[in-house]
Amino acid sequence: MSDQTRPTSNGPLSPDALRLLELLADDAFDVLSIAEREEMDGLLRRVPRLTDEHGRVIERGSMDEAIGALIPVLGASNDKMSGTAGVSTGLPAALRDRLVQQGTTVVAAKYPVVSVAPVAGAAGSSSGGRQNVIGWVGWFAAAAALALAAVLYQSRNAPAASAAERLAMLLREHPETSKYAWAAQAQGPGVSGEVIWNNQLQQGFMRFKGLAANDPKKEQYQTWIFDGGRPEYPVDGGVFDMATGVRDANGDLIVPISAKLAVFKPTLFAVTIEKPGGVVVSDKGRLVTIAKVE
Amino acid sequence: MVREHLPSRREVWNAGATIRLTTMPVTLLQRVARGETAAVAACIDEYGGIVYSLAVRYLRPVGDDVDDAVQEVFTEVWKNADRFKPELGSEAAFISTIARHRLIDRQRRAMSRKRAAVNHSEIRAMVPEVKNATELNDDARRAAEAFGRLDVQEREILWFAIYQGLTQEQIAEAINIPLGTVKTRARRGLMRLREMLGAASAEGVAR
Repeated sequence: MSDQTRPTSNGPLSPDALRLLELLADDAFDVLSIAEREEMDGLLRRVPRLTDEHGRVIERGSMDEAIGALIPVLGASNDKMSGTAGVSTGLPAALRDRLVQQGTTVVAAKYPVVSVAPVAGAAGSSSGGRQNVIGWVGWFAAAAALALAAVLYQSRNAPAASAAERLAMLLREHPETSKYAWAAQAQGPGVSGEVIWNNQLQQGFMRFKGLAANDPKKEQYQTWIFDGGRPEYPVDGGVFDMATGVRDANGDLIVPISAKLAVFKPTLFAVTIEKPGGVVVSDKGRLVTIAKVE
Repeated sequence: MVREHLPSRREVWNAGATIRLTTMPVTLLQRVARGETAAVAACIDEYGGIVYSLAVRYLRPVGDDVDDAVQEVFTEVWKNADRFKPELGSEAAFISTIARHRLIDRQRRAMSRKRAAVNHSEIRAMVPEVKNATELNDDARRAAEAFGRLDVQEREILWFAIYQGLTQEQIAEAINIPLGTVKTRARRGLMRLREMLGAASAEGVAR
């Protein structure tokens, strides 16, 4: 570790910093008097701001971070404890259903999806459900002045062309971009092609031959990126359908990769079959194809 | 090194074994904030148990509606999903913090409405221990290890205060020690926990 990356330390706490931490701890347990709260607020407003022994600024939420980190641990420990007040702590199924219904409504209202395209050129895909509906409504509203036929034509074809064009542009402008050949697996015996990935740009595409059609109402393909920088968790690369993908001049299916996190050091790309919308946990690994990074 | 790692993963897959193919936990809230409603159910399945468990402990003794509280917590979670920053902490910690604040508010309101008689007799027998650290993910393992390094009296107080949602007066009554001692142990335990987690976090950033 270089000195530049070594965490800095302020050394021992100053008396004011120590006092502020004491007050924040008491505040976390809701035992501050009015005078103590005023004292805490005053210390929090200090300029320059007080820092802890690790050189980090002490903030109002400093204790919350520690408490928040501990709660899941205590919850996990509860499983092993007997006689814990005799209460069941599993989430009841009926409550879960209400939470999902309520959450879906709240999320749809607060985070409206304007553009949904797990596969660029996915016009007409039935896999996006409500999100696609919202996207289409917005799209049509914006294009209201145009002739309907032209709108439909563009919506089907303009995005479809763009994925192949973007791939061609990527390869043209960044010839260092890597390619990794697919190796067919049990759920995709006829699949061949390659992954095209530029780690510096965090951009990539998949080229397929022989990918079987999927019924988007029942299942979708999902891409995963195994990352040496995140060995515990493969990165979700997005979901897609065979029928709505883009074909290039050779008839190959071109699918952009939509990595949900930064990829540090890709080690393996994989495609599985999952339920519509994709999953965060895949139990059986219905593996279609993989591409190892050599 | 990479070559050694990859085949084993594929071999496991091909053998049909159960594999947890999962994105990092942080991505659930990020997906929610992008409007992916499919992530809502996944988030509830991942964290609903801990939120419900907290709600039961904080609110059942004071007679408040646990189900209503859990719905209130998750509504708060959805509305704040876009504020979650994975580099600042785990998703579990983010949701737990929201849950605790919301539950404390409800608990205090319920207690002011009726001077609830809280029976803590069965709590005294509990020993605050944590799961085997090897069974936990990195964030939880660091927290478990830090918690395990606290004095047993500090662990006990933090367990009662943070997980059971008891006030310091209730803890003093339940385990029959002076209120001042509860306050001192709670403060010292939390400060030590914060310091140890801060040190672990700083080391993680530097690696």
